[in-house]
Amino acid sequence: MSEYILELESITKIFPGVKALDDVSFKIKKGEIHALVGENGAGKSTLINIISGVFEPTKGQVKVDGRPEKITNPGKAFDLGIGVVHQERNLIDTFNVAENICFMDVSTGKSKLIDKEAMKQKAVKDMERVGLDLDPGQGIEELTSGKKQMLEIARAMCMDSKVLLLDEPTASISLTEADQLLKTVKQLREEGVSIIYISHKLEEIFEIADSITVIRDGKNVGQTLPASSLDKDKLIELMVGRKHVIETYANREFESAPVVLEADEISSKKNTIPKSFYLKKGEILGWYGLVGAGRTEFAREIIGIDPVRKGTLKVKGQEVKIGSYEEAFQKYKICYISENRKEEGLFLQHSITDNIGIIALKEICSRGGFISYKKQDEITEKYKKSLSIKAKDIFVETASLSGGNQQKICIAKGLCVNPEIMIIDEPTVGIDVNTKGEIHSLIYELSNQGISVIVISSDMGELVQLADRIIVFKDHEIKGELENNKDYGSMSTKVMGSILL
Amino acid sequence: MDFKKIRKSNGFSVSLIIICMIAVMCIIKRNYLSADNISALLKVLAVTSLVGSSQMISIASGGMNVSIGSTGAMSAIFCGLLMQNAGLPVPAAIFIGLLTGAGCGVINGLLIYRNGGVGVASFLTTLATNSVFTGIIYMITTGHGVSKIPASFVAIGNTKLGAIPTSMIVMLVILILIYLLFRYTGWGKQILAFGANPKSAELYGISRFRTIMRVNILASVIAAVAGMMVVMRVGTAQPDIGSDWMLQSFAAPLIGGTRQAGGKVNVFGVILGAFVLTIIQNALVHLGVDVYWTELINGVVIIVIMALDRLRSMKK
Repeated sequence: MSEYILELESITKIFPGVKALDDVSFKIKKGEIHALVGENGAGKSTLINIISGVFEPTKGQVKVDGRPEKITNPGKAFDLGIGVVHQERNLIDTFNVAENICFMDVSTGKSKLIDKEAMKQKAVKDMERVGLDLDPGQGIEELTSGKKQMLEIARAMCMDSKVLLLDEPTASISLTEADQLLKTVKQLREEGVSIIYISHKLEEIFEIADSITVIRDGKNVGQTLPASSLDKDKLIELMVGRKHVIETYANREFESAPVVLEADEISSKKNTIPKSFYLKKGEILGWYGLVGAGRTEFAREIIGIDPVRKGTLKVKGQEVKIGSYEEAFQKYKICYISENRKEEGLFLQHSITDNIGIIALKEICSRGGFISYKKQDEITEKYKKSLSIKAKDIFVETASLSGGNQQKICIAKGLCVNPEIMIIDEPTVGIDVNTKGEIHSLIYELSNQGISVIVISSDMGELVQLADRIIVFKDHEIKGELENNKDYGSMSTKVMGSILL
Repeated sequence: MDFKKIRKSNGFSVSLIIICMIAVMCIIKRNYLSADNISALLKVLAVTSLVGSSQMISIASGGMNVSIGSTGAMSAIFCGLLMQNAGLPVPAAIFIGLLTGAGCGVINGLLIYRNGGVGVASFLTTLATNSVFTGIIYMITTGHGVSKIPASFVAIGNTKLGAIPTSMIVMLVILILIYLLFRYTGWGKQILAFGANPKSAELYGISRFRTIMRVNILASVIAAVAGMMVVMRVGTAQPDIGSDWMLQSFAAPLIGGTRQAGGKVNVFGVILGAFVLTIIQNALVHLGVDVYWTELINGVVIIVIMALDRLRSMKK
């Protein structure tokens, strides 16, 4: 018996052309919460994939409970008592709750025949452990993302895991759900489970972690440290390699600026609650609310995906009816940048230049309708420079870029149509601190050029730093509107106040 | 289960369609429900159901198999030739027939796995193997059927237990086994999980290789049974057995409520789907519709049924 449940010794992983991990070592004690932090692309997910048997390390050794083990496939990891909850949801949509939780029994072929009753009981027991109260026979498609997240943890626990790997578990769930999740994680620690916790939310890390390992560019940064010996600034410094503060932008005056977008009691078939707001030229308007508060849905009403049924929408004082996103885009110069970069924002298999070219078709096509690649590349180079997109050249596949750079390409795609109004949905979700600052200054820069921007975000800090005015959403309704005084303390109380009241 | 739930189910609406079709045929043709016609219907139904359930397994795993027809023909021909030329006893010949199917399944499975596993890969691979299998059949038979089939072989699917042809019973037994596979066994659940979300399934320990092999062997063996059943019904083994299976094989499970994208099956729905197809075919013969029209009508009817189904799910 060893003091450590999991030891990684000099793990190196080389992908064709890239050294993703370089001599990384750390050890997890029994019954501790071990936070793994680092910027995007630092190699955290590669580490998780090695521990969970998706990849094999090029060099180095993994020891489980003191014994060296070769984890050659995901099934092996589960046999060793390593449970994983990956960053993306991995539930089977066509299975019900119980089947999803007891999935491991099925997938590892431990039980050849399925006993529905035993499965239900097991599912109920495991859900209780993570504080989930669902009908085991229920389908999973309508569950909130937080519930789905807890379901995946229940599934990992179903195997009596001794080690639990959580990769960004709170990235896409609401605050209350996140609280519940943190509580569950702490309780699991009490039960003696060791947890590897990956998150970009530093508050969470300081709330629950016992020790912290920092990874930068695929290497260890110093030794594993006890969480109590660090604070937020120090940790950020370790992560990015230098002191870094996200800037808070100055207040601006919009008294005399013209209103470019005005909604008066608009509602659609999907959401019949009337909503009103206005947006001035060059203003950054924050839409705050928790995931599922109806912000994205409201944006979809404005841009014509779920067309407005009642109420009036005015663009630059003119009453308009927008019937499709194409119309919003081409005619009224409103562009929407999805929160879902990978699925709705980019053609991941295409290069940067092709991604931009498809939007800028009008500009790059000659009169006969033929594409000029020269023009396309010129435009792309221009955006690459002005948005400082970090890539080898403009011909790399966008799938290979980091989240931050992908987001910049999405913004570049939006800019191609010379928009007057931009709606940016969760601009910095899953993006590291460093790039977050860059995206913020980019948005601020755009607004200074006279583009009106609506920023949808669940990150209150982000909106307080960036927005001129904040609208608060709850349960598909606009609950309040606040002038932003850029002071986090007083603003957060006000915002929370308007949600709770 | 209360009536409301039943009324909303896919099986209910398909059953309604079937009843309507039978009613219409009864009005047009007085002797439509004669014992002869029913028996003829059921024998075709047995084959179509098996063909449909074979495809259903492929669809469930997120793939497809367009070589079902040639697989069925291959085992029918091998089985028939061995009985005619080598005088092989019937059980041994059937065993060889099943083995032929399994062999085709192994070939399909290995190639599909090498080509990436799901979706288009399985379509292209089986399209190619379909051509290869058909080629082999025509080379061996030089286009001629095998006509000296022992009576005891034909009897297996051609006798009746009461009013029900034995081929129906064979089909029902196989479908019950498939039902049990998907409902109560880990294998079945693995196939469904893989079909619904192959990436997740792999991340959580389901082997891509094993799943694809199982699916293809199983599907091909069932196709082999269907091929031999055609021989039992017709009395000879023709090299063009299965040439009209392609559309049926997809239509039967999809009408029956199997999810197009994989991950969800309705095993007994396949029988209903096959029933619809069989009645259409049978009706066209009875009404003396020109053979050249049948293809067109078959296609249109299937498109209409799927459109209705789509409308229904949109209402939900």
